[in-house]
Amino acid sequence: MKKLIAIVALVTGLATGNAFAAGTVTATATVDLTILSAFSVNIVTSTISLGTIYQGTTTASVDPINGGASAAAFSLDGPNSTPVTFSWPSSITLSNGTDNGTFAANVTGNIANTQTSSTSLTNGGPAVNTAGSGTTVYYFWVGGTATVPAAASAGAYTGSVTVTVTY
Amino acid sequence: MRRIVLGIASFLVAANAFEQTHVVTATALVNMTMKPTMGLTTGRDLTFGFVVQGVTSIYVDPITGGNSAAYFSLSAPPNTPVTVTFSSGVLSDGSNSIAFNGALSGGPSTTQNQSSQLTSGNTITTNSSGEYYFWAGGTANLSPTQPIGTYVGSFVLTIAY
Repeated sequence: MKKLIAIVALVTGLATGNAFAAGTVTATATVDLTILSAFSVNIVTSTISLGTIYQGTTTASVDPINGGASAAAFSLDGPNSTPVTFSWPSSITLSNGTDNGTFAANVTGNIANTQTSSTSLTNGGPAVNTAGSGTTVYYFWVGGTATVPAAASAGAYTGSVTVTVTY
Repeated sequence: MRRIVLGIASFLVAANAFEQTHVVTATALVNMTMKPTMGLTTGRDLTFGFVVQGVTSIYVDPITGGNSAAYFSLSAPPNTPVTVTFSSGVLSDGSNSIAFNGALSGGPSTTQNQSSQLTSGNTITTNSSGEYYFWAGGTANLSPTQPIGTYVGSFVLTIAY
C-alpha cells in the first residue's frame, strides 16, 4: 500500500512539470528611416576638349586626372555619406556631319575638389560614398579617347556623353 | 562475584573487534537545466535606410528583406501553440512623424526566405525544440515634402501563451 501511494505521487509531479503558467512575453525592435535631400549636379566644365589632330591621326585623348581644364568637370550637391553609382555609355558617336568616329569616356571622382588626386570610377559601380560633411559632396571629371578612321574628313567632330549618377 | 563481572567485560571487547567495516562510494553528478517558460529576444532592428525626399512610400518585406528586416527568436516549450500579435505606430524625428504599418513573417527555422507571412492574432506552434523565429518589416508612408532627418520608431512583438 505504501508503494502504491509513492507511484501516484510521482505521476502527479511529472504532470505539474510540463504545465506552464499563461502570460505574455514581448520584444521590441527599433525602426530607423532617414530622409535625404535629392542630389543635384553642378556643371563646372561642360566640354571635353580633345584639341586638334591632323588628318591621318586616328586617336586623341584627354586624361580626366591630369587633363586639367580639357576634361569636363562636375560636382554633386546632396546628402553626406551616401553611396552613389556612376554609369555612362561605353561608347558614343562623334560626327562632323559627314564622317563618324567614336568616343569612349573615362570618369574619375573625388570627395575633394582635387582633380589630380581623383580616382577612376567603374562604369555601373561599385558605389562610392559622398563626403561626410558639406553641401557639395562629390566631384567628378570626364575624359576619354576618341577614335576616328584614318580617312576621316577634316572638320569639327562633336558628340555628347551623359554620365548618370544613381543613388 | 568478582569473577562474574570480569567475564562480561571480556565479551564486550570481543564483539567490537568483529564489527570492522570497509566503505566504498560512488557519486553521480545530478545535472538539470531550467529554461524560462518563454523567452523572446530581439536579434536585429528594422532598417529602412536612406530615402530621398519626395519618395512617398517605402516597404521592407519581412520575407525577402534580408538584413533590413528586424529579427526575433522565441524560446518556449516544444510544440506549444502561442498567439502572436504585433503593433507599430509612427516614426518620428522629434517634431515630424511618418505613418508606419508593420508586417511580420515567421517560421520554425532560421531561414528567413522560407518564413510565412503572419497577421496579428495568428497562432503558431513552436518546433520540436521549442523554437520559433520572426522577421519584421513594413511600410512607411511619407509626405512628398517630408522634412529631411532621421526618423525612429518601434515594432513591438507580443507572444501570448
